[in-house]
Amino acid sequence: MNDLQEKLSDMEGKIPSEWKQAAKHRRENREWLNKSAAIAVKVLEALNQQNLSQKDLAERMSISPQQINKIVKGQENLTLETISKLETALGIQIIPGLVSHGKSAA
Amino acid sequence: MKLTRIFVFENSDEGLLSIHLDGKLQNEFDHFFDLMNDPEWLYDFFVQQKEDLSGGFYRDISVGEAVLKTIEEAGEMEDILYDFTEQGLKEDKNGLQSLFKPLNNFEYIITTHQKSKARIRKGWLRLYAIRLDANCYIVTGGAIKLTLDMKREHLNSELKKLELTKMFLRENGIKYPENLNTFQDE
Repeated sequence: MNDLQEKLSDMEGKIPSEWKQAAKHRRENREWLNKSAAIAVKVLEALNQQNLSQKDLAERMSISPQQINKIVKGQENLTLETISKLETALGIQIIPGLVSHGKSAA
Repeated sequence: MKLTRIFVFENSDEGLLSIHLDGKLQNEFDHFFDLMNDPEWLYDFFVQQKEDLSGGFYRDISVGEAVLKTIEEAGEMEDILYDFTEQGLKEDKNGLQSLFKPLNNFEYIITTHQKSKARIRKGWLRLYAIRLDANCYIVTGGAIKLTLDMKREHLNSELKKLELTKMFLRENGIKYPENLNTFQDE
């Protein structure tokens, strides 16, 4: 061990970095995490515009505030059911144009 | 203050370390990338910095778009660093030095113990660090830089951490020349 290595090692703490593991997870799951982040932004914008708290939204959806917090942190692999509940509770379209709401062309 | 290894190659001086400030749960490097991947934190940040967001280089970008741009940029930065951990620094001609540049834009000479920053071309994320050697940097923090100068509170606190780290290294026997980096920081 050279002088610099020795000095750096003396200055080291006991809590290791968890970055590599987290970066690996983000890298391997980037496609759905990006979609989850885009949904989080839509939810945050709607909450902001309607002056609602995360707790208000949790009550409207009958789920826990912790669950809403996971959604706005972009960490939830959301089901279609949860996305639909979010759309109804906030009166917004998260996935627009997917369903025609039964109106067929004449 | 302590140091944490982010990735350091065995039996060498090469790698990336981070400071871990007393009383904080995470080291500055881990904390920075967690925040840069957190839509809720980013949304609140850009709402607070709305004036700089719409008044600077980046006008016409909404808060929501800024959040998604940041997450994308953080991913690019993480990919470069992650590849270093997998492929080693030798694979790349300049290694970490290809990512980190001197903190002051008008400093053209790269020296030991230099205050440095990592950024991606046209990006607004900055990772601040002190260079110990060509492939050895100590990260002191990171920020979203929307203004040309470092006067905003969140940027000024990054300069303070660089100074604190400089003192910490000196106290621990790493010689730090007094005359380095005395220019006005970017």
